Amino acid sequence: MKNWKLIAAALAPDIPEPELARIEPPLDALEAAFRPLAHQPPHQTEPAFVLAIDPGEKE
Amino acid sequence: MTILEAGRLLDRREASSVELTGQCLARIEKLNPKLNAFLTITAGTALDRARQMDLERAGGLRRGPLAGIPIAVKDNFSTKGLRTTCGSKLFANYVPDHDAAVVERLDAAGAVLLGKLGLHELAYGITSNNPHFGTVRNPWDPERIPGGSSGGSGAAVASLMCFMAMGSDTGGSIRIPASFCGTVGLKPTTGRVSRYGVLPLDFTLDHMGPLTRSVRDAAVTLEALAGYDPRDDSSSRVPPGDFLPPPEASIRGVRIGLPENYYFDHLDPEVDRAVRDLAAAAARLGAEVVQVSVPDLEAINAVARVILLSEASATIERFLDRREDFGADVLALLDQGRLIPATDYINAQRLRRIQQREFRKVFRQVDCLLTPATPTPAPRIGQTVMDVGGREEDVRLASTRLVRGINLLGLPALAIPCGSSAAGLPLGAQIIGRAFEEALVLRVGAALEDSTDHHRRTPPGL
Repeated sequence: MKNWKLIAAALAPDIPEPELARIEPPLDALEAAFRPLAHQPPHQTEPAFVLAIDPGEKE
Repeated sequence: MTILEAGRLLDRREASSVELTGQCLARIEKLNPKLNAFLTITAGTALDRARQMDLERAGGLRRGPLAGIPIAVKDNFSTKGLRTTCGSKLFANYVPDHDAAVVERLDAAGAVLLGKLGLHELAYGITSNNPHFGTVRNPWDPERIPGGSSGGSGAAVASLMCFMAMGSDTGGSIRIPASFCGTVGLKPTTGRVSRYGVLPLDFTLDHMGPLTRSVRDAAVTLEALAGYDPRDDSSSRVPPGDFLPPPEASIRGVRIGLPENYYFDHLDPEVDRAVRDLAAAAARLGAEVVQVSVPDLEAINAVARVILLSEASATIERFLDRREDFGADVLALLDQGRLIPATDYINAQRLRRIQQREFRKVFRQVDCLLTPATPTPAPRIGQTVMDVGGREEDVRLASTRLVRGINLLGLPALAIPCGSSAAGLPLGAQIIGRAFEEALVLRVGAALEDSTDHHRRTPPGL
């Protein structure tokens, strides 16, 4: 699991300690769900910032 | 009464827009102190507008089904010269100098704006328990949440304060209040309805759509709203077409998928039964109801949450030196988003492309999916965890897990009432279609609505 205290100290030092403690469990849960997925996209897969949805697209 | 029924009264001169508007304003005056659905009420301008619509109609001008119909919009839609708070202390005194595209289109369609509706702070949450503007309450049980973030929209439509209310949906914020309040709620395909002028939460997940008393009312509203808008980078050039289902909409031969994984895994048994009953009704109407396997929704939801947290925090970051101006739950989400690295956000957007492609394969087998909209009826105000089919879950995560992923995929989804709990609370189903196939989703919804009377129920004591 990530050390959220160190990350917060670097990125968001204004988050008070008790509030940081409250957000650690949901961040841990999201990390556990997302980390196994993070490196799944093949190398050439581009991000979908603008959704390219075509009507009738059925694969 | 629905928009289409009211329109017939207007056409036959059996009612005027002034009368309809006056009736809605009277209900707002009576019920809003209890429900807190409206943040701003524009009674004077609404009656002026209604008079104008009556004069136009008397002169033979026909703008369409929304002409003279009293409606309201969530308070994150910009309204020129009218306070637009987004349910936030940050915007408590913000008066836009322009209308949102949706407000422009509703105005062009002749709708009568009654005011602005309460919401979860910054449209970032599902309770509409707002620390700055008060708690929005559910008309079916004022001790329960109406859902969110478009909670005022759900409460106002369910309590007959207005005929249609606009909502926005980033992770279920139209469909959750529709489900909890017993209304119809439509999240259109990404790009179908312009986001211009709506205070943004998430640039790649936000959608705009109506909450209404019937599926056909949602259809005629979408007909007024849909279309390309060059001011919105996500706006689609796909022609809108006709969305209104015919009077006796047939779904004979339509392939409706009932997911055999995820959607029915952990549900309140009453929701499970109500949605399966609806599937049985679809089969009796001639639809081909088939079991279908859907891609990993846990993964899709995880990707959607990384994107939501990151984009929302990026949007609001410039205000985060005013921590005292945020409610605790919203601040906690914004702080979480600040700790997610850019690499995760970008990989989430790459995963999104793959997940969209994978999910489209479902539609080789079926024309649409029928699922529950929320796994339970409305939770109590202040409740943070709840039992869902024997499993204890966080209220926010449980209420969003059946709807959130559809925002990531960009697909159209319609929430419709499908029954009531033993306690008399509404239960909601969701119909999900292919991109830009709102017409089919609405046709299936209308046929199911025609075969039941769930949408005709009104809250007790109102």
